[in-house]
Amino acid sequence: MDATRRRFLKTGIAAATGVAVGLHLPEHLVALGQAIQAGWSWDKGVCRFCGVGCGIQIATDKGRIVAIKGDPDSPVNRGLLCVKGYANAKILYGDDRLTHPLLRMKDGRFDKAGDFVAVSWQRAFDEMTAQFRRVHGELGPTGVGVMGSGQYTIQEGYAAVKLVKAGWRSNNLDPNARHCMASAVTAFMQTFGIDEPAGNYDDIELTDTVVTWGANMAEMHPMLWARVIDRRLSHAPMRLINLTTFTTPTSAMADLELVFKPQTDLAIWNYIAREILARKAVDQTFVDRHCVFATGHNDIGFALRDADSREQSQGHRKQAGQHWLISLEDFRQGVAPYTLDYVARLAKGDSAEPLNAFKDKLVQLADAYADRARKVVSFWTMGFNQHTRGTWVNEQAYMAHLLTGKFATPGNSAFSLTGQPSACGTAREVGTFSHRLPADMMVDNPAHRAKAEEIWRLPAGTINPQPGSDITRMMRDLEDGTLKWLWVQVNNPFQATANANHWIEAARKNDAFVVVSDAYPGISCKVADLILPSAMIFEKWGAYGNSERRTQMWRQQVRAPGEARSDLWQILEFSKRLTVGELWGAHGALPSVLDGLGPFAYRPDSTLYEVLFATKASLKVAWPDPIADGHPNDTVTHLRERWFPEKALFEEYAIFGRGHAHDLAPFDRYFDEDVRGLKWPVVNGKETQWRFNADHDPYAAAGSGFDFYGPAMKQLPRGNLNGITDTTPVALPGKAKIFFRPYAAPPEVPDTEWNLWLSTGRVLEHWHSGTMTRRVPELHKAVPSALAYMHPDDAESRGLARNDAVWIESRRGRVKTRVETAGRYGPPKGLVYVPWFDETVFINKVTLDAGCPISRQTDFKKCAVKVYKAEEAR
Amino acid sequence: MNPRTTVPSAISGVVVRSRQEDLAAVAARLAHLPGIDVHHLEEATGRVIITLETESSDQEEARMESVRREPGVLSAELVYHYVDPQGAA
Repeated sequence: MDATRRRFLKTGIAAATGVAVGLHLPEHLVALGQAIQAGWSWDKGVCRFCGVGCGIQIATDKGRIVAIKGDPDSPVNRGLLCVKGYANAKILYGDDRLTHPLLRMKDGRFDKAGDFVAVSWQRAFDEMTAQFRRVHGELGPTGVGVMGSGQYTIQEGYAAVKLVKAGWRSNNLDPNARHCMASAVTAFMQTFGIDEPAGNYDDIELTDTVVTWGANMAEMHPMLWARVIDRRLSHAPMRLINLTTFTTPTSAMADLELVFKPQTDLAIWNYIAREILARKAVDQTFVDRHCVFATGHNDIGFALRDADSREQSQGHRKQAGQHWLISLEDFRQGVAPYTLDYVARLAKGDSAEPLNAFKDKLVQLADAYADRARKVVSFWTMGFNQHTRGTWVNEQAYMAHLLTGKFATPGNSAFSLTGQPSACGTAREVGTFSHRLPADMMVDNPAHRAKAEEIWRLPAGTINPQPGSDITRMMRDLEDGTLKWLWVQVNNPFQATANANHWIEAARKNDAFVVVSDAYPGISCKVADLILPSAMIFEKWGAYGNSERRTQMWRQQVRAPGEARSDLWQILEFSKRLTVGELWGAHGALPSVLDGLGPFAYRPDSTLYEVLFATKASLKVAWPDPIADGHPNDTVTHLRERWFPEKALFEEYAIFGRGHAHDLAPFDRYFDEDVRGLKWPVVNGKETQWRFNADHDPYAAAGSGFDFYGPAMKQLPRGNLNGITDTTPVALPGKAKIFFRPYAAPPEVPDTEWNLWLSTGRVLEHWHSGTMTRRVPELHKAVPSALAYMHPDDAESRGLARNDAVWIESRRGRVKTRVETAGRYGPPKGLVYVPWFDETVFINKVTLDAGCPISRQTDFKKCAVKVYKAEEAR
Repeated sequence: MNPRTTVPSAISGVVVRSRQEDLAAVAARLAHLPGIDVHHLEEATGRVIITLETESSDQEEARMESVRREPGVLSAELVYHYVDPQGAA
């Protein structure tokens, strides 16, 4: 690029930047900003990384993406992007993109011990099908499984649900989102009877207080954090309170930081509740009209294997989710022990902090919730969700907001921020969990199965009533030999699952067959037998749903390299190779439904493709479609069909939610110029800002004020803090539940040998396991490898200096890394923090696969380790 | 596994924010950083538009970091990212 063009470009880009953020610039500069973009084609899209769902504009020129800008019309990010925004274009162009199917072969045949050899799609599907038949023949529907993702597009996730649950009659489909927000889901379901948040991001500009709990929002959700900072700078009463187990960049902007001991957030909430009661700060009208009090069993276990000794004293681990009504007096009695003195001693996380200083902070925290005049938004992320009592601690947040009536109104919100771009839109709303069907329905509910069978045109009884294995349990099934055929899509579970040594060994067992669809070779590809190259975000059509119920869509912009194909195409092609005759017969307790084919005109040799996907209704949704506006669709190209799968599947999926408080707009509406995604339920063309609030939500009964209309778990027995006293079910229409949940110690705590807490998480520049972001050089250089962040005193007492090579070891495994005692994270004494993006610092070999027994989500935030000096050569 | 990506040179448009009273001083300091040009200031909102240019692409994040570290900078956010399709400069 010559200097003149460079100067021209810079001036133009500066002008375009200014225009995008609403600066008033002279006409000639505005024109220059337009001139540099001449000949480019712009289209709207959504960022492919975290769950915030920032709107972006994508420019293509001659078949390549040449520019990305924050979408100024996006109500989410208002034209701004964080550093991961860059990566949307660059991740497509890494040199080590997977471009051909790769099969382990020796002497021209599949061999588990062979080397990866490039093969045709035909050969890949042949092997995949043969292995599927072998395992399905031996073990039936529970012997096969799919590990999906919160990065699935809505259409991919929906196709996966249909393939596994209807086609295979298995429920072994579970997303990596299980590790990300399953606890948020179970708490929503138990509290409100329906999933997904009441409020939305606009609460930030309407509140007086933001409290972050276990959420390093400044780094993990930077564009929302930018809005929080804006509010802090422009609204005098605004206060930021950060609760965390170690100092993070979020602490830097906070007015108040509370460093607490891991797991004691449970006790802090009960202190807040006790204060709310003691100060008579309860919104009595709201509570009387819209809430009931509830609790459940205390000894519910830790989602470890049944044989684990730590599960033995946990008598109610099989009834973890059971709960019942209690009285306000029971609730008061429950929180009574959580005095300021008790909680301060239990929860203070920094040994260097004086007890009185911490007590003072707890009082200020309680003030924020108890002050009737103050609006409050609580945000949380993995610190809550990845927790052996993750469901409980989510429920406690609702508890404080419901007690004070600070919920579902503008500026008052309790909000779980998600980590993946479509954890909400796909994993939760579509229902790619092992117990779920679309639109919050459950496989173990006969009415829900019947509904799904009706929409899917299946013989009655096709869907398996037994929930499948969650993602961690699928790993254990693989180890136990009860699951031997696994397909991994849009995630990297062999790096992402705790206690990883076990699962890597399990995948390499002789009779296991592991297929991994990916764009880049990560750890999961290394343990695979067959690797399928996938198209990435703007190489396909898709839709994502963000944390605030906003559904956003995009068109295909560019073509995938080599033989890489969309995950949807892979699902559809594979479905052509299996027939209902071989899958819908009797298996164990599951009866044959082959007698029921007649009314649908299916035959035993009908393929799953014909029965599930290329249905009469879908074939009417034609490609080409004017909505494409000149954009290609390579799913269609390679399918060699004339129907439009992304549109047909979306419209079919939308049938589940319309009329059931999950209403999505018609497919085409999302591509309109004036739309930047829409927050469901979309009723009469209008999105919903605050759910359950009768002023805003068309599903809330008029005149009710608030209506918690979710139908699940709304028939409860009565009891007290000790258990159920009257099993007669009480109906609770329209009510939300205020839960009492006690403090419960985690299953593994530091002792004299394993003497440090280990917490894991992300850093700003890298996202998840780093398979994508580690391909973008500037992101990689910024944080070249994961470090062990320690307190300087902890380093010194172990004879360690900054940058020393160390082993981090638990009872399960060890990894080598380097010590950082300054840096951007400041752990208190007793805690070490290691990010998990770096596969060369494979920290999940060290972590414990304990989790919340209600949500089955792993606690990646706490286990016990020791740290000691390693030899220098590495 | 090391990333082996060859990424062409890039120019980014970035909006930097500071408190109103710090704006001029912040802009002056940013202008001295390598690879950074200051283009527009808007005092009413405390915003500066800069471009961040990279001769070799791996400097990008380091340069964003150097902007963020300047005293008085409250935030620095990417708005526009251009990748030269002609390849590395």
